[in-house]
Amino acid sequence: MDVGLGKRLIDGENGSVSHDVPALAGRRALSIDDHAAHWVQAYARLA
Amino acid sequence: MILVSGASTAAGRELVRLLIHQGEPVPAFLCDPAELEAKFAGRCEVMGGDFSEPAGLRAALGGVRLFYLTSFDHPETVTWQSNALEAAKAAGVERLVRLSAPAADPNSTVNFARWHGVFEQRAGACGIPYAHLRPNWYMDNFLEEYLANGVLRLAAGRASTSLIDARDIAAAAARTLLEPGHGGRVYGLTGPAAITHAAAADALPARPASRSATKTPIWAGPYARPSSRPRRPGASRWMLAWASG
Repeated sequence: MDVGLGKRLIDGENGSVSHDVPALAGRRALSIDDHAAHWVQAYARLA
Repeated sequence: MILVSGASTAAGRELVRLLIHQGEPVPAFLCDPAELEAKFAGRCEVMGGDFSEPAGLRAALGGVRLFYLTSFDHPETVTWQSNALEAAKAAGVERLVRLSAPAADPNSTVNFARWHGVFEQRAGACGIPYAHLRPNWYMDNFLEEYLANGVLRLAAGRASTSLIDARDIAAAAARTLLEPGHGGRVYGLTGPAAITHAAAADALPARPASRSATKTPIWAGPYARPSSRPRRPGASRWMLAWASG
C-alpha cells in the first residue's frame, strides 16, 4: 500500500497534539465526536 | 477595523461570525463574495478581490488595524501573500495573524510546508507584529466526502493525525487578533488526539441515514481521482502534487 502522501503529511508534528488550542480558546479542543455531532445536527435542520 | 481574508473558508466564515458577535467591524476580502454576502447580509462588508492584484489589496486594507491573512495553497502563495504584506505595511496595519501550515519550513520537501516556511520568514522581517497559526488537517475537509458519500479516502495507511475543527482555528485566530502579546508567536493548532482514519470512522457517533463509514485501504492513484464534490477542479490531484515536492 502506498502511504507516501499520508506519511509525509503525518511525519513529525502532525502525529503530535499541541495544547495551544485550549490555551487560546479557553476550552478543550473539539473532538471528532463534537464535529460529527455538529454536522449531524446541521443535516437534521436541513431535513 | 479587522480585515478577514479567505472569509469563505471554513475557518474564515467562523472567524467572521465570532468577530461580528463581539461587535467588531469586519470587512471580509475574498475571491467570490456572493456566498458570504448571502450569509452575513447587512452585518459584514464583503469585498471581492484577488491577491495577485496589489491595487485591490491596498484598497481593501485602507483603515484596517488588524489583518487575518490566508489564501489557498498554490505555487504562487508566497507572491500573493507578499503582495498582501506590502499592502498591509503601506496601510499601517498594527497586527497580523496568518494561517500557516503544520511543519512549515523553508527547507521542507513538502511543497505547501515549504511555501509557508518561506513566507513565515518573510513576515518575520516585515515589522508588523504577527502570529502564525499552524493548524493540522481540518476535520471539515477530512470529512467532506464522508458527509457527502459516506466514504473516507486517503492513502495514509495506519498513520494518525490530530485533526482539528475549523471552529477551534477561528477561536484561536480571534484571540490572537484581538489580544496584544502574540507578536512573533507560532501556534500549533490540533485536535485533542491523534487518531487513525479507521479510528475516525469508528468515532463518528451518528451518521446521516443510509450512510456508513467505509474502511478500505487505497493507493495514491485512486485518491488522485477528483471526488464527486471537489472544492476546486482536480483538487485531490493538486493536493498530491503539492505535497509530493
